[in-house]
Amino acid sequence: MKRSMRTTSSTATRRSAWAAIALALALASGAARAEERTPSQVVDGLANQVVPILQDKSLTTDQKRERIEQIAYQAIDFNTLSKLVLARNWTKFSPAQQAEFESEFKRHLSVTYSHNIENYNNERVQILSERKENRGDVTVQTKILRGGHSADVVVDYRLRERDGQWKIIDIIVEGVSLVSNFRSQFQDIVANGGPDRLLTLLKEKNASGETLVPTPPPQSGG
Amino acid sequence: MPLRTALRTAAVFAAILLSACAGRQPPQPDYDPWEPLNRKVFWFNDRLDNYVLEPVARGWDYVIPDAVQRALSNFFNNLRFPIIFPNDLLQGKPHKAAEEWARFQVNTFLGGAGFFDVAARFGLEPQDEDWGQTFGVWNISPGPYLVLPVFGPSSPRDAVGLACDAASGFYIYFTAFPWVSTGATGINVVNERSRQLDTVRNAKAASLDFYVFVRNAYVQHRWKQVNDAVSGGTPLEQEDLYNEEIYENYLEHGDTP
Repeated sequence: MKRSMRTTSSTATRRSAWAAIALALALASGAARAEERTPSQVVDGLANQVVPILQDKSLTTDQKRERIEQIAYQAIDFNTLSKLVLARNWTKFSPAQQAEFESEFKRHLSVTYSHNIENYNNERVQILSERKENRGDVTVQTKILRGGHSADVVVDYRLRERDGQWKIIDIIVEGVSLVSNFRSQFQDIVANGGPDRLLTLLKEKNASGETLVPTPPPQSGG
Repeated sequence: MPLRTALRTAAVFAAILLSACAGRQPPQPDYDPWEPLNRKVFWFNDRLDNYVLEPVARGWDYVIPDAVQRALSNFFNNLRFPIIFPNDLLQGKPHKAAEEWARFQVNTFLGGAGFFDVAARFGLEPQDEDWGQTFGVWNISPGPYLVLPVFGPSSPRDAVGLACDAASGFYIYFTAFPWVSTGATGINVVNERSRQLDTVRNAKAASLDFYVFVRNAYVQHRWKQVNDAVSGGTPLEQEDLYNEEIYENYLEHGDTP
C-alpha cells in the first residue's frame, strides 16, 4: 500500500491521504469514547487484566502492585469514594485537606490490597449478574472461585456513571461494604480529633505499611 | 434433655422480648450503646487471640498440611448438619433443607465420614445457617452490638442463637464423655483459626480502628446472611450510604454540631 501510494503520489494526493487517516483516527477515537462500556464490562475488564498479572511469575510483588494500581485507578472513582466515606464530615475538610485525604486514602487501599498479591492461589472471577440500584447506580455481582480450597467469596461492585463512564464507587465483600466500613471507622476519628487527626493516622498507617500494631488497651471512660 | 429445653424456652422468651423492636430495617453498623464495655471485652479477646490462640494456630498451620486442615474443616462442617437442617426448615426453605439432607448423607457415607466434601462436586454447596439467622428471618432485630468474652462479636439475638446452636449441635451427644467434645472443639477452633491467619492479619493492617472495623463487618455480614434468605431483590441500604450530596444538605440546613 505504501508502495502504491508512493508510485501514484503527487503532493496533493499524499496530503489528502494523511488527512483521511487523521480523520479516520479522530472518528475512531470519538467512536471509542461514545462506545460505553457497560458496568459488567468494566468489572470483567478489571478481572481480566488483573488475573494475568497475578499469575505472571516473572514479575516481582512491587511490579505487580504497580501494574494493578494503574488498572484499579482507572476503574475506581476515588473522588466519589472519598466523599462517600467521609459523608457529612467532607465539609469539615478544607479543599487542600480533601485532596490530601483522597490521595492518602488511595494509598491506604493500595497498601492494604497489595498484601493479597502474594496470597494469590489461582482464584478466578465469575461475573454473575447486574442489578439496578437507587440513584441510577448499578451493582455487578461476582463470585471469586477458589477452586475447592475454600468456599467461594461473593463480591459485589457498585458502579456510578460519571461523564459517560461507569466507575466503581464501592466494593462489597460478603455483604460488607468498604464505604460503610471506612465511614464507621473515620467518623469517630474525625468527631474526636478533626480532619487533622484522621490525616495523621492515615499517614502513619501508610508509612508503617506492613508492620502491625497491637490493639491499644481501652481508655478508661472510653 | 433439660438443658436443651431450658435454652429453647429462653430463646422463645428472648424472641418475644426482642420482637417489640422488630421490623425489617437496613443494617445499623454504628449502633453500639454498650461500646465502653464492649471495647474492654474486645480488648481482652484480642489479647487472648494474640497470646494464646494465634500462636497455637500458627504452630498448627506450620505442622499440619493444608489438605489435612481442609479435611478437618469439612469434617466439622458436616457435623453442623443438626444445626443447618432444622434452620433451613424454620426459615421456610424446604428445598435447601433437602439439599442439606443430601449433603449430609453423601459426605458422611461417600466422603469418608465427612472429611471430603464430595457433595460440593455434585453442586450441593456448603450452607451456613444458624439459629441467630432464623430469628432474623422471623423479623427479630439483633439489638445492640455485643462482644461476648471468648466467643467474640455478637448481639443479644445472636447470643441466644449461639446457645441454641450449641444445644442443637453435635456435641450434646457426647456429654457423657466431656473430654471428647472439649478436645474436638479445641481442634476445630485452632484449625479454623489457622486457616484465617492471613485474613486476620490483613484486616488489622487495613483498619485504623480494628474494633470499629470488626463491629461494622460483623453487623453488615450478619445482616446479609439473614436477608439473603428473605429478599431476592434489591436489598435495603444503610441510610445515606451512597448519597454523595449529604454534605451539601448539611450545609444548607446549617446544622453545625
